[in-house]
Amino acid sequence: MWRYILKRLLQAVICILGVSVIVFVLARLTGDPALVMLGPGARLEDILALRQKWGLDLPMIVQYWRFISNAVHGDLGLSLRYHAPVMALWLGRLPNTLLLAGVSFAIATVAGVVGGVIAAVKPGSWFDRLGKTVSFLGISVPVFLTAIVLIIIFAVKLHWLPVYGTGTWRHLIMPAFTLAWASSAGQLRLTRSAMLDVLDAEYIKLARVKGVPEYKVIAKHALKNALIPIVTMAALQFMVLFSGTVIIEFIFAWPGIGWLAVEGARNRDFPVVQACALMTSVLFIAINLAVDMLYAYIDPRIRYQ
Amino acid sequence: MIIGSLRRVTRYASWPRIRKSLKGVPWFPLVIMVLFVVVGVFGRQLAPHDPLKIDIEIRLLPLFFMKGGSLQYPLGTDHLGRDVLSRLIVGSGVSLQVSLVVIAVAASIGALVAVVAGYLGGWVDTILMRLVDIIMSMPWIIIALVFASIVGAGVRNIIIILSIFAWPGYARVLRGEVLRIKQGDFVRLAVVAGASKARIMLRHIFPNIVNTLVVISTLQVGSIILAEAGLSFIGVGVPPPRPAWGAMAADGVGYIFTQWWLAVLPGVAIVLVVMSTNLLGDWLRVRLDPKFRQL
Repeated sequence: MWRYILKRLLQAVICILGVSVIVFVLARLTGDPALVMLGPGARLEDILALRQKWGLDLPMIVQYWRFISNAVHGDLGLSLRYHAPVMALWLGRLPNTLLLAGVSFAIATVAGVVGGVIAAVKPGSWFDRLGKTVSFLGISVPVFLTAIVLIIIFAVKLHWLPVYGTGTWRHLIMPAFTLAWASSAGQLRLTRSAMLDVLDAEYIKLARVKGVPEYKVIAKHALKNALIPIVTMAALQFMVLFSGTVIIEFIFAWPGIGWLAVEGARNRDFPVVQACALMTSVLFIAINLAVDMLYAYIDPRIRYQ
Repeated sequence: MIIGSLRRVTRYASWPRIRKSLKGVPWFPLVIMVLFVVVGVFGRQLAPHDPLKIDIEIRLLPLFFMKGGSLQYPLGTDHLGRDVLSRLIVGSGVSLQVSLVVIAVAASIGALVAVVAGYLGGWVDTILMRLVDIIMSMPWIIIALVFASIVGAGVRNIIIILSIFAWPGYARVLRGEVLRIKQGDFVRLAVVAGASKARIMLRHIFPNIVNTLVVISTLQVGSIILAEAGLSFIGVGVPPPRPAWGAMAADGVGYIFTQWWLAVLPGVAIVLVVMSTNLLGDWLRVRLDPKFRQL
């Protein structure tokens, strides 16, 4: 067990280092930040001064070392627009994104797992076909279209929900539903096929023959064993969903990390976008790590490998 | 198997056989896809109006069957008086171009990495697969924003960034296939016969992953189009004035109180194309690989 945890921790650290290299290289290879910042009409001494101030005249490896040691100390630079530390901006927006992603994730998982179980118990039934259609549409419809249609119906025509913004739970309904629909599709498909596999097993037949009530067979004997692929998928889905928040936050003016990053990119506020990329990747890797630990807990075969 | 079935078709072609092989072909998605490709390639010639011509006099015309609409501009005009139908037609070109180039690049890199990593194994495999893990654990859309904030928006940049994030998916799935294939007797026979590693990878392993490669590629077209549209929607994709579906929808958002169709129509175009590629991909998957039939 400890060896497994240690190995995964080491892998996570390597992953984080890899991400930081990619972000750093992306930032440096695409041009001299001092030139980009000051524009084409800049004077040479200004450019040189800025280069020296940011340490751009040092060797690449030294620059990377500075970048990484500053990052470890929580210093990712200042926003060019807000003149505030980008780390603080990112942390300030994090709760909003976590709320949105968390609620959508809960809706998507419950809908996907429950729908998948019902569909697997009665394959070919009208519910199964309905679930297939709904999840198929979910992966084919761009999230912004779902959002626009929801806004037109529930905000513009019916006046039931606010168009955008944050504050009350009513602001959360449309963005959360939009995200949940797009990501429940995968959950539903996977739960269905995992359940179908398990329901075919001998011990399920035995349980039925023994006279165990059907609901107990499904909830206890089958679902518990189908849970492993579902948990793995759920972690993957959470990341897809987290990326989805970028577009959703932009449409609904939801003040989260995604909106921060989009605004940063549109204003060419490079340090903000860089921090968003790096910190969000670290968050992803941490979630992945947590899921792998959970996985080892659920599945003894991994623990004692 | 694809190469094989083509050979079979040319050798045994007869009407009943052709009819039998056409059974179950999903016609609706196929028609949409052909339409999409034709419109995407010949968009400039097919568009009834110039998609870039601004005419403030006729701005925000409604759909043709509504009051004030005209058949000259069947889908109305946008906030700058540009013909929406023409913009939709020309906009398909961007989606087609981006998705085809990204798929070509990602499939090539992905297949190469999968064959090399899977066949050679050892430290090559470890390094390449760790790289795949790293890229897959990054939030692609935010990295795309990083890229856009440094070098600006543009079709070439979208293609680069989407290719970087598309190939690991191929590599991971195909590597699994390679690991299975390399256990086959025909590979051992080739080794015994003295074939070089490069030859085995190219002539014995690669032809066996082509089926899966085609299926993944078809299924990927939809997600690439969705990704491009999403980037254009948030303003870091195709720069104006070139029409792109995502950017058109974003332009329309400001008018949803009065001209809702401006935002919805480009979205509907995307749905039709993405749905078709997904349906075709699913069909191909079942058709080319009986193993997947239970899924």
